[in-house]
Amino acid sequence: MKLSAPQFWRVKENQYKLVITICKNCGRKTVFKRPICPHCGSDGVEYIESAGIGVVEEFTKVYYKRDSSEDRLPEVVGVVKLREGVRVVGEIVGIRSDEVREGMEVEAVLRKYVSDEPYGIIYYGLKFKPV
Amino acid sequence: MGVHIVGGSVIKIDRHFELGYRDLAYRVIRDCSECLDVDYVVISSTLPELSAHQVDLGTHIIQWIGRRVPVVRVESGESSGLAAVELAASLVESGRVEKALVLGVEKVTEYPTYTANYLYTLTLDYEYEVLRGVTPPAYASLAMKELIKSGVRRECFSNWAIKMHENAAVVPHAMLKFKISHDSLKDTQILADPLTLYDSFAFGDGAAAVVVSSTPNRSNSSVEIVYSNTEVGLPAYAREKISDLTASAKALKESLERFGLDLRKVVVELHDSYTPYPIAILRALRYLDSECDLSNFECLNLSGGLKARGHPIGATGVYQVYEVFKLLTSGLGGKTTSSEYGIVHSMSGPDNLSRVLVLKR
Amino acid sequence: MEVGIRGWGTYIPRFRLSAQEVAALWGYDSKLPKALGIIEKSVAEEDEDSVTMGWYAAKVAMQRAGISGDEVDAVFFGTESKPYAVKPSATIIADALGIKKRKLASDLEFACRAAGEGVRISVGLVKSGLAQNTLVIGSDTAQANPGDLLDFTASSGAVAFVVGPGSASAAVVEASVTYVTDTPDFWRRDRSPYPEHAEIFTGEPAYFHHIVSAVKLLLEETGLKTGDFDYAIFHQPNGRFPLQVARSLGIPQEKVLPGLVTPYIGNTYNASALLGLAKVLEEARPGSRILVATFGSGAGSDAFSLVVRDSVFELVKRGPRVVDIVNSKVQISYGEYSKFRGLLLRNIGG
Repeated sequence: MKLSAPQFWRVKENQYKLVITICKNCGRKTVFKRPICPHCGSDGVEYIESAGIGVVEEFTKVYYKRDSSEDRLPEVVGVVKLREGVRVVGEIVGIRSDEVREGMEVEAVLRKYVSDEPYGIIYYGLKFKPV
Repeated sequence: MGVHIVGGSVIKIDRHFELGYRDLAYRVIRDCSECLDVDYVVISSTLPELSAHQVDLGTHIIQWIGRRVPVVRVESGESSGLAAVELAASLVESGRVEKALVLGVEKVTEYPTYTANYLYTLTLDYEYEVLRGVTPPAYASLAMKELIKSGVRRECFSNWAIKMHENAAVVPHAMLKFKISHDSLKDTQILADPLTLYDSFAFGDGAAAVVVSSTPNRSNSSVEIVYSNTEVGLPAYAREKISDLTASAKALKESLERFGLDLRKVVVELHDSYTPYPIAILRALRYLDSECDLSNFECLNLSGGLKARGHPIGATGVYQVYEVFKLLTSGLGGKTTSSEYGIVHSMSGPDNLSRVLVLKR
Repeated sequence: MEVGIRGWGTYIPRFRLSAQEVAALWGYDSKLPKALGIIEKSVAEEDEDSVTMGWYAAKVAMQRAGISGDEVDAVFFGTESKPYAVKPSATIIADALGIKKRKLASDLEFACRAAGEGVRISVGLVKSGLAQNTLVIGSDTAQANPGDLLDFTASSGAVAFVVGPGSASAAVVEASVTYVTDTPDFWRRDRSPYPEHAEIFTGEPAYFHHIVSAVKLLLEETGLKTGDFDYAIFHQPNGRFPLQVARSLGIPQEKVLPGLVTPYIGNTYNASALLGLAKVLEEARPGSRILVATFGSGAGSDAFSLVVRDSVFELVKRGPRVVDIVNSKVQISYGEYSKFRGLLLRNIGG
């Protein structure tokens, strides 16, 4: 794998923070800072930063192996509903996979996403761990 | 006038270790006389840059088979094949060309399965899904959990898989021709709990070709492309539910209503990369209740679907069109139908984009 | 002008490896863990490193201090397990926490005491007016050669402090002093995955000499006596050394135990003594005087005298407490430890 430095650098705000796009036209909220509302297409948007606290709405324990994933398997991927009312999909860490429950309160934590071993760049970003 | 499918050819979906992209492409057209009598070629392929280090695959294929015909390659994730047919139909419809060959070709066995899985995962949004550890089976499993919560029984998904294996058993080009039962499903490996290997498509190499023409064949051996439409869905994480496959439902509903069709009565090929997706779509279209009785569908995925015929990613849509074309004309693996219409549905990712093509005898 | 600790935060991974399991696997007598004063150690997951743990501790420290990223003028990151040999970790943490661009930021390396030096640098910066507030982070995914004595204790954890004006602080830094020499007791060569140490040489001439010297200098400069301190916290490479150094300084055990965390989580290197300080801040009454002495091999020690202020009670409430984090744990096997910490030789991607 060869990870790009500029690609990560360019999007790191959305990886380091949970920014929410609020549409001034349709009122819907969507995760990630984005120039246009994906629901109605309006560019009349504003942004807030989530406090990073939410609840696991649903989750799955994943065994699907792909390049460089083996040290993380099995991994738990879940849908987290943030306090700000927005859903986000992400990994749930800091807990044994069998202990994850729906309704569990979680907080966003910085973790490594991928690492270009052994000499390349490391991508960091947010995942979720139990509060 | 109109746009017609006048011929085509496929090869068995399999682990073709001895054949590369260009070999597969040549293999599928060499015995198809009408395939080379065209004035434009649209190549459909999703992964060649990643799996074979090849950019501009279309040109290299055409050079390899010793032709000078204009060529373009189409890539639209898992729906590439249907996108290519759509493009060829537009070229014919516009009068730009008389006859176009659509050639879908894909290699997924150049690397171990974990690498193929990674390449396939890239059909999702790399920066906002893949980096976060989200994979296609993770989404499919979450969709399955949602459906189960809404009252769908787990066996419903297994029923789909069993039916697809049954259907594929007589299809010459299908990858998985063995039957499965509820018993054999019990010990299958989990991909993303509760989704198992038997809920997932079969990964194989393949090549399929259809010829799109401005004139029908003289005999009853061609079908007309009467309609195509495409809907783009929301990213799965931005939906109320991941199992809300609204793009697929909308595209299918609109196509059916336009011709007054009942999905139970027509030839239809649904994109069933993972079993929850066709179930969710049929429920959204109100064809299925929680009992999931599939017996009312006369010609549903007679090919065996992505599940059992196989899913050579960028070639799949062309296989589907070929199969419906055959079912509406001379038959497929001994199966014939009296249906006037055929529907092909293809989507990329968990309904990120969905395409529908309507064919008429 | 008084300078103090405005906020603190800690991070300890939930996973623990028992010292008995290490002993059994590597053929040590089962009495050794007790002799080392170690019950279990915290283990970071595969996707954690000193940056991710430091980020969490720093986030909580800023939350306790009640300051935003615009108010932090310097970020110092003390570690001996930098993810990048060259490329600052401090900037990653600062950016991820939304700390402003106009700031000082660097990674400090002095074995286990770099973060201690960071606190002293911060005191100087705030006192001089060059900075209003600084963020000091000590974080390590401590490395140990598998099977070495260090394998019993080398653990993962992080601590962070916001250093700022004393008026806003939970504890003011009354005095501090640093004592350093060239003493090769423990080192890790460039490109080497695990540190080497001179075993018994790490004790008397290194750990004990430097801490005792730093503390004596502090007492001389302040005129304080050991009896003036309510708590004493020393660097904690194991559970025994801090008690031994206290004894040699005439400090009773009960003043050391509240800040002794290594028996339960292992040696978190740069976070070691400072995690003990965080724990004591969460338990101390206003007016208490705290002695802190770090130690870093190579070697050196920073001795601090801190006096707890009234606002400490309010600040304790603003974040998770060390005692709760220590108690929130899950046992893992040596196999899982090896997987988590990447100790197995394997073909990446296979």
